[in-house]
Amino acid sequence: MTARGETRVERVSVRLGEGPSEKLVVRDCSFVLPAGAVTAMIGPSGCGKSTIGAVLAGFERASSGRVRLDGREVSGPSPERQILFQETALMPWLTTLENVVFAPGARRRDKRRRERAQKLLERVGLRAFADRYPSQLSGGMQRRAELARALLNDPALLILDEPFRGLDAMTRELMQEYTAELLGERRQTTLLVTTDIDEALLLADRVLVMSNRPTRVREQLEVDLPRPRTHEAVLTDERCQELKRHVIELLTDEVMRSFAAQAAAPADDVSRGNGAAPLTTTTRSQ
Amino acid sequence: MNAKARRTIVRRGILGVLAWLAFWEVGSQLGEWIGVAVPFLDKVPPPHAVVGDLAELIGEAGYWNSWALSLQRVLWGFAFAIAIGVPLALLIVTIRTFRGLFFPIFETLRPIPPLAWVPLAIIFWPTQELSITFVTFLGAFFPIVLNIVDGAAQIDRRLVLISRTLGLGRVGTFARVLLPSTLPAMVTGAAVGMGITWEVVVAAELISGGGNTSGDGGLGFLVWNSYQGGDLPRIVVGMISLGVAGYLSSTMVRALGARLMPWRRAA
Repeated sequence: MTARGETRVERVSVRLGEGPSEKLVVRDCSFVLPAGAVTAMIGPSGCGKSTIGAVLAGFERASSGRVRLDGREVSGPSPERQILFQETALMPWLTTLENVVFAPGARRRDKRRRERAQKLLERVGLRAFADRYPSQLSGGMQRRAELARALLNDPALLILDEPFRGLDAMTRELMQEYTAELLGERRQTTLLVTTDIDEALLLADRVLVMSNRPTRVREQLEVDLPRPRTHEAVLTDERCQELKRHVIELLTDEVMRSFAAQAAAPADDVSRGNGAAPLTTTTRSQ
Repeated sequence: MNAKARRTIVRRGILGVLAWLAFWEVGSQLGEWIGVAVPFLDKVPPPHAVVGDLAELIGEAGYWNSWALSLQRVLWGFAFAIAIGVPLALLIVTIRTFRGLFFPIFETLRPIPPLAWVPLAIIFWPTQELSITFVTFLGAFFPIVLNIVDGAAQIDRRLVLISRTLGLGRVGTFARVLLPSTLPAMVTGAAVGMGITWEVVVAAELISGGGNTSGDGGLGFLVWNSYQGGDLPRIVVGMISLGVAGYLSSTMVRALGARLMPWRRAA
């Protein structure tokens, strides 16, 4: 299977809010997500990374510029672009299997689709939990069920918006290694939005380091580390340490700039200055 | 819940009721026995007098007729409150224009006690039965609508976004995300509404004004009529009957709700 999902973000700007509370969140931002690769997007918290994820998912509209996926312009949500949020978004009233096959009309009863869902559940180690409700699954299991749901739709692009943030440290490490393996074997074009440098270096082929809000790409790095990668290997590898130091330098610089900007701003601006913008409160569906 | 835990709950329930009855029996007669009156309780007939009246009433067709009449009024009022309240609440929730137009009126009408509606209810409807049903309807209608509107405000936005991503349109998202999301609030609203219909039935049955002392004007009428006739034990019987009826029907609504929401039992 030739990899698909090449995504070109071309001079995208995003304004959120209306009237006096309107804010420029993304400014003239351009980058490419190569097909079949995992690209991590790392930046100061609240910088607007998640907003870019929401634009790619089709939840937000770019105020200017455009996004093209395999040459076609993106508008509105579509099964070809799947997203995992920071917190679980499984329907609490559906069993794991029903959640995975969730789709319009007859497609969810399609026999072959159900069989593929069963296989995917087996692949993510949830076969025995197909008939359980999400409330009966652990955080890591919920994440894996959501991965299965996203992958069942054969997305051209998978957007992971800080998907391991709410997990405990042990589960997070396991899920990161596990996800790296799963994405690698499928050559899944992926955007991983994260604030965790180790996570970016563990999973990604390339890293986009983002600037403060209004955000844009500050620098692109190739993660030329051998695969498969494990936490142990990544943390001890010399080349990896080098990359990590460089990313930390860039991020520290961005954070310092953000503080400087806030100190210079009038007092009433500081209060709403650098507030993180979680997807759940800033997005509007079209 | 296993059988043992359930037995414990039943045992505690029975024990609680028995303890309360003993307290009431002693409290209401302490004044006669040792000359120390317990406030409030000494004005109430002791349980054995109430049980005496109850035994008398149980033999009368009129008492059971009152149950049937009240139940009928409550159920019709409740059924209409569900049939009108649920779609209305969903309209308020889904169509912003509709919410803007309708919600202020709703919020103005809501605090008006059902009792204040009685005169209008009599003018509105051609039969007494319809007037009473209308007042019980109002009792259930407002909590049902309000619970659904509040419940919909708590909907997880991410579920809506995800359903769009999975290919559902507006109608699909409404049917398969919004409806199940608001189901818990609907059940809560229905249980609260059901309880209030029983509270309101006394007010509603003041309208009926007829019947006889055996009380076939409904349980609410039984209470009122016994008060006018000065029959204290009978008032208490009527009150307890109303309480039991409300408790049973709310429990039934909740049990039905639990059946509709199996995911809530699983944990």
